[in-house]
Amino acid sequence: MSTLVKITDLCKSYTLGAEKLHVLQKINVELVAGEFVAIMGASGSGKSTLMNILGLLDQPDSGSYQLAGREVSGLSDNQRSQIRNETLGFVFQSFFLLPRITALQNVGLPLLYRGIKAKDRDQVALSILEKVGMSPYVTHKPQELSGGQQQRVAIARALVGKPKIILADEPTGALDSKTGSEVMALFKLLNQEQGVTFVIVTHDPKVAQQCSRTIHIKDGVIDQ
Amino acid sequence: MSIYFILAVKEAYLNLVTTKLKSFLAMLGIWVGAGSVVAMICVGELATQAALAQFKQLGTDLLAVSMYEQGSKGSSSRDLELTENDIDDLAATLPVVTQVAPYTTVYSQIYFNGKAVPAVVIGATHSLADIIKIQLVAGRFISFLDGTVNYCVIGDNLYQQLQRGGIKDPVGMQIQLGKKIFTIIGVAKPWQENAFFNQNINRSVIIPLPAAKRLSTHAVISEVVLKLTPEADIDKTQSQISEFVQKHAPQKQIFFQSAKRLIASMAAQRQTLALLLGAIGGISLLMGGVGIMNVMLVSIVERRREIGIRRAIGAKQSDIQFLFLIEGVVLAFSGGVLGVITGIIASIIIAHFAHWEYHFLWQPPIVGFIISVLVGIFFGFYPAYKASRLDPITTLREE
Repeated sequence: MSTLVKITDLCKSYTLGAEKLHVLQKINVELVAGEFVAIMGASGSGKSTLMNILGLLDQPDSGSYQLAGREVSGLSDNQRSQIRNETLGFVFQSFFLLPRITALQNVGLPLLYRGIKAKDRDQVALSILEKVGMSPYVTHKPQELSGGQQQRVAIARALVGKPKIILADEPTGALDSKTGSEVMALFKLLNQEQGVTFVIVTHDPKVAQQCSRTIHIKDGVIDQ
Repeated sequence: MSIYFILAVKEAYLNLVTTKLKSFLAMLGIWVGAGSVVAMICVGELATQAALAQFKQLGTDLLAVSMYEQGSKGSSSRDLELTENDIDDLAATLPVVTQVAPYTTVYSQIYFNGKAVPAVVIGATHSLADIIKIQLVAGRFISFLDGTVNYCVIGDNLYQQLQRGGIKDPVGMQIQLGKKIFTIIGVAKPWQENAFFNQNINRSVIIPLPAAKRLSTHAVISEVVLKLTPEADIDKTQSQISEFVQKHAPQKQIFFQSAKRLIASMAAQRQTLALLLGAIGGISLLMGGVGIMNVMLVSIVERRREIGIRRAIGAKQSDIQFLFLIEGVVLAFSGGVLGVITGIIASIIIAHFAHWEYHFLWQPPIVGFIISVLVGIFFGFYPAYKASRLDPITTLREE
C-alpha cells in the first residue's frame, strides 16, 4: 500500500491581537491509500485547521505536506486550486450545494473547472448520481431535497472528479441518526468498491467507531 | 475559456432574473446613459442629413453676398451703388461664376382688390429662379426683356390667399405695389426656404430689378446669389468679390454665406449638442457604473458561501473574477439594450417633431452596446477582483 499523505513536523499558528495562537504544533500524520480514517478532537483542538491544510484551503507555517508523492506546501493558489479539483473531494456538514442550480449541475461543477463540456459533464454527473441512488432527482434544486438527499448529491459532487481523497467535515452532523448511518454506509461502500481514501472529521464516537483508524487531536498535537 | 464564458453568461443571466428589482435599479443609470448617447448620435446625424439634403437640392456651389452701408451716413449717392452692369462685369471677370442673381428687397404696401396683403417685394432677375429653384405652377418667370415693365410673379402664400378669395387663375390680374399697378405674369410653386436667400419666396412678389428701382429710390442691389463651378475655390472667389466691391462701392461692408461656412457652423452647433448630450450620457453612465458596482458588492457579500464552495471544488481566483466580471457586463449590457431601444425611439420622436426624415442608423446602437459593455467591465472589475480574493476558509466557516 502506498503512502498517500505524509505530513511531517507541520506547524500552524494564528495571531490574535498580541497573542500568538499555536493551533498545530509539529504534527505528523501519514495516510495510506484506501484508508478510512476519522479525526476527532474537541472544538478548538486544531482538527478543523488540520482539515483545511489537508484540503489545501490553508497553508502551513512550517513543515512538509506530501500529497501523492508531491510536496504541496508552498504551492501557488492556482496550483492548489488545481489539486483540489483533481485530487481532493469535499463533503461538508451543511452540504454546501449551490442553491440556484439543479442537482445534476451541482455535481458537474468540479468538471466545469477542468474545462469539460456541458454534455460530457452531464453524462459523468448522471452516472455518479445513479451510484449514490439519486438518479430520480437530477433536475431538482437543492431546496427541493431532504437533508440526506442533499448530502448524497454533495457526495456525488465530491466523487465526480475521481479524487484520491475525500475530506468530510462532520458529514453526518446535520442529519438524523438513520440518514447519518446511511451516509456512512455509502462512504464505506465507495471506499471498498473504488478504493477512495476517506478522512472524516467528527466528534461523534459512533462515526469514529466505523472507521478503521482514529486520529485524536488535542491542543494542537496528536494524542496517541 | 469558451465553455466557461457561456456558463458564466448563463449564470449571470439567471442571477439577473432572480434579483429583478436590484438588477433593474443597477441598470437604470446605464439605461439613461446609453439612451442619451444613442439619441445624441442619432439626432446629430439626422440633423446633419436633413441640412445636407437641403444642400443637395440646391447644390453646394452657391455663394450668397450681402452688402450693407457702413455706419449711417444718410442717403448715399446712387453713383456709389452697384448696378446690374457692375454685377455682370463681376461675373464676367470671375470664370468660376456660372450664374449670378442680384436682388433687392422693397418694403412697400401691397394691395389686391383694395385689400392690404402682407408680403415683401423682391426686385430680381430671371436667373434667380434657376439658382434658388423657384418653379412655377402657372405663367412665366420675369425676364430681362421685361425691363422696367410692371410685371410680377407671386409666391405660394399669396396665391393661396387669392384662391381663398375665389380666384383660380390670377395670371393677368393686377396687383398694387405702393402706388403702382403690376400685372401678375406667373405663380410660384411652394418654395423651400434656404440659407442662401434672405426672404421667403412664398410670401413675396417678385418684380424685375429695373422696375424695383423705379418703385423705390431706396431699392439698391444689396444681395447677390452666385452659382459657382463645383471646383471653384470659395475663399479665393470671396476675396476677389470683396476687392471688386471695394473698388466700385467702398462704403459697403460685405458678408458672405457659403455652403462651406454653413457646414462649418452646423458642425460647430452639432458639436455643442454632442457635448451637452455627451455630458448627460457620461454622467448617467458614471452613475450607472457606480450603481452596478454597488449592487455587485452587495451580491458578493450575499454569495460569499457560493464563492467559497466554488473555490473548494477547484475554481481558481481567475475563474471567480471572470464569473463576476461577466455578471457586471451582462448587467450593463442589459441596461445598454434598454438604452439603445429608448435612444432610437427618442430619436424617432425628435425627428418627427423636427420634420426630419428618419432612417435607421446602425452606428449609434453599436456605440451604445460597446459603451455599456465597457462600463460593465470597468465598474465590474473591482467587485470581481474583491470576490476572487475572498478567503475560502472564512467564507465556508460562516453559518
